[in-house]
Amino acid sequence: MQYSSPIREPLITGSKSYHDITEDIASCTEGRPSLSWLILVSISGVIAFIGICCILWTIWMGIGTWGLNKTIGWAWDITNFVWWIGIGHAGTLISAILLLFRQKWRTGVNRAAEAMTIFAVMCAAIFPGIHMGRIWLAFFIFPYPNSRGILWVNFNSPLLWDVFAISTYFTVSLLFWYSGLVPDIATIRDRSKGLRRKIYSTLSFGWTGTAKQWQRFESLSLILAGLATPLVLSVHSIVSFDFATSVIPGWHTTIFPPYFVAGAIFSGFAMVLTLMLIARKVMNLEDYITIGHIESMNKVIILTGSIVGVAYTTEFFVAWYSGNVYEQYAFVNRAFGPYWWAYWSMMTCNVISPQLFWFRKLRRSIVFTFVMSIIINIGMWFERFVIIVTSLHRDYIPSSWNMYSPTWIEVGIFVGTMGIFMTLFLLFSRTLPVIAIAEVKSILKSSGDQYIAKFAEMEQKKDQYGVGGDLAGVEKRDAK
Amino acid sequence: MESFTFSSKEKKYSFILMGIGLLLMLFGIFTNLENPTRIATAFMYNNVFFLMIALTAMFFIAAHTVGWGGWYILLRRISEGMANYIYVGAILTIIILALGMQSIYHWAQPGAAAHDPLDLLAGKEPYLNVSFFWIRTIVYLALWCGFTWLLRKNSLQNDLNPSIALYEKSKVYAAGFLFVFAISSSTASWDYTMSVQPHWYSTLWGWYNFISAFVTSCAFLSLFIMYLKEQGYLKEVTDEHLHDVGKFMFAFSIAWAYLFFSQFMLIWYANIPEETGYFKLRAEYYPLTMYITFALNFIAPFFILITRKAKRTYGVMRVLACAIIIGHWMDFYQMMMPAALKENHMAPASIGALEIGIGLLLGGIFIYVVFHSLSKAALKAEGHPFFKESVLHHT
Repeated sequence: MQYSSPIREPLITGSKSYHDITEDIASCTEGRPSLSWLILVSISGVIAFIGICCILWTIWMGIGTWGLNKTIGWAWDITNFVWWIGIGHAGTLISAILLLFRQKWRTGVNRAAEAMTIFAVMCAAIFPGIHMGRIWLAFFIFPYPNSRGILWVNFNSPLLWDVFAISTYFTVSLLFWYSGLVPDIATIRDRSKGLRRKIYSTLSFGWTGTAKQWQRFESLSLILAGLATPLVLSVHSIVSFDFATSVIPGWHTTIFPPYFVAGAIFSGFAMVLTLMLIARKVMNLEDYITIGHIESMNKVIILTGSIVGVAYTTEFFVAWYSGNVYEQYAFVNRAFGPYWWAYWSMMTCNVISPQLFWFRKLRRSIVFTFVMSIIINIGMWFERFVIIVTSLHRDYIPSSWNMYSPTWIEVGIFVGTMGIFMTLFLLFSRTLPVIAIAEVKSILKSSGDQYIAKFAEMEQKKDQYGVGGDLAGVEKRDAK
Repeated sequence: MESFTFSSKEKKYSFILMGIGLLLMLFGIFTNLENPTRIATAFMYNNVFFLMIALTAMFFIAAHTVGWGGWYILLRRISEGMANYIYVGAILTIIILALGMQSIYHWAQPGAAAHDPLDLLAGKEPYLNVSFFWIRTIVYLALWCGFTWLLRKNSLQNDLNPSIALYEKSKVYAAGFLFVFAISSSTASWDYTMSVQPHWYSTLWGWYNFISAFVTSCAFLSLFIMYLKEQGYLKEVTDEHLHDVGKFMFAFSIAWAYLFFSQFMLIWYANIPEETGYFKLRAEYYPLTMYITFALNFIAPFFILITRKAKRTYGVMRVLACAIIIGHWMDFYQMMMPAALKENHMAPASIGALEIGIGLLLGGIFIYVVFHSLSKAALKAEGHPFFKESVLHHT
């Protein structure tokens, strides 16, 4: 017996039946693509093409095409890398941690968020790859037995830990995403004919939906959720180690691991909102991604945004409290030095503006949420820029002080990754169900609006039956 | 409506616990008269430990309230009882600080800044000075007590007169508490446990303290659930509920280890002397405490609580809950005592009758407060709109 308190907001509206759910979601992948989709995919395709050209130019000419100098040895590339990896965190958080916390609303957004994770990690991986300079030697980062003698990977380096962390994360996220897709792919297969049917048939691994298959499917998703949960934390913790293990003022601080994780989830949810607010409108999925879903995601945003805010304040306070003059200088320089605009953009976008979500009206406003989701993504990009560039640009020796500004090649690569990301996401939205059909069905009887209405009706007869009894009564009445 | 009676037998046992604690404590005080730092610090760390447990019980309620959690409603009165200890903790904090602040906190002694060999304390004086420390303490305690009182009153009113308006109000109180707690849990940790070693600093400290207390609070919650069940109360609470509390204990034990490791590894790796001092002191003079703490707080819960069956077996859960409580009690000991002794030029000590005695005394008072609060109200918050969800809770 599934039960929800009648004061809970329904998560599926429009009195959907199981069949309606299949129709509504699977039909998005069928038929001819709409004009708006074609326009969007061509725009993002062009942007992706420009980005790929800039990447090839970098590989051809070398890192000299970037604005780096001897003081600021990495800047946009690592900023973009951390930004994309951070965005990739929401998917696994929604599918793994919220699964363990039994948050039913996650079913409306988990599929798209997981897909987003995979595409974001792919975009992120580009940056360290091309920053190596000689990308054809990228296999050097793998600790395979070789004959290079002393040219061996450095196991003491967090950069190497990153390679392991991110490749593990990518693998598990991909498995999680794909295993969740199998029943839904089978649903699409059953609705299609000809070559399309053959393709989906292969992709569905012969799923027939027997009880045994479902049983295995459930165990697998729990195991993957268990594996993915520590990964959500470990990936961005290890990314933060890239900075925090150093002795650079502004980088070496113990709060980095949990604070990076919170920031990553923060930006990831913002990106999920940006994409899903468009998708629900364009694909008519308002019944599955309701205002309630948006409100829940905004609550995660205010939580993680506040955690990040507490972390910024803590860092600033402890820099002063430590009595370490270099540490103090690094933070004052962040806020009032030549990069003050980056610092205050970060503070406004990440700490101050999300506090507006304390107001229920704003949490439930689509326009406001959309604007905020963009603002947060800008803010989180600035956060990484502030941490990386402002901590580096004032070196220990004043003669090495320097400024950094990107070249158009770097800008092109960054914008290009957005094009790659959007192109992949648009292709995904046309070929695979953007909402997990089977999972949404699993919450229908507890969170569909017609069922919630029924619970409310039962609630009024509470005195007559007492706990539990009335529920059985209504079930019987329905059977008749 | 089910109600809990605080039986004379239970009262007797909690008084026996307090009595044993009191005896050990007196013995400890008389054998340590020459060492006021140890006496005062033993009181302070035990007090902070139980106060933080009560606060994190409040956090448990508040987080579930704003997150629309339904499953925990049957357990809510236990958490409320634990939160009610905040009043006792507040009074104790004031008494201990009034009597022993200078014995515990080296920086609070007159002239400490002027005679600081590292010449750092003068720079910290705007924050670390006695009057501002008192102002902060009073503000924390007033806010914590105020929110506890508001949320408890709201919950009790809802018993008599269930209404959605009260439920909506409880969300406002809970959000207010979370906002206050997000800031004050960190700043209070800097004040009470970090400033014992005033030269040392770690940005992660506040969250590390919070996690340590939160997992202990969940362990206490599970012990109270199992006790009440065995006494025949709370029939609707099933293994499902205990399983979920067990998951909290499991997950936050890992979270504790994660924060411990993050703090330790970053300090070890960067190897900056002003930071490594913290671990050097403990590794050199208190290695056993460190290893036992790690074993009880991470190794044991991780390997034992990982299975589904363990979280549903009373015997296992009880042993693990005790392990977590003892482990984190030792963790709070090692956060404060080694540094307090060193800063005040005392020889390293080990956990003795004094610390154990005060722990048992405060533990006895804590248990008494919880049972007393349980007996003062209905055992189940039946008027809560999610009550039925909690009754029908299954995985």
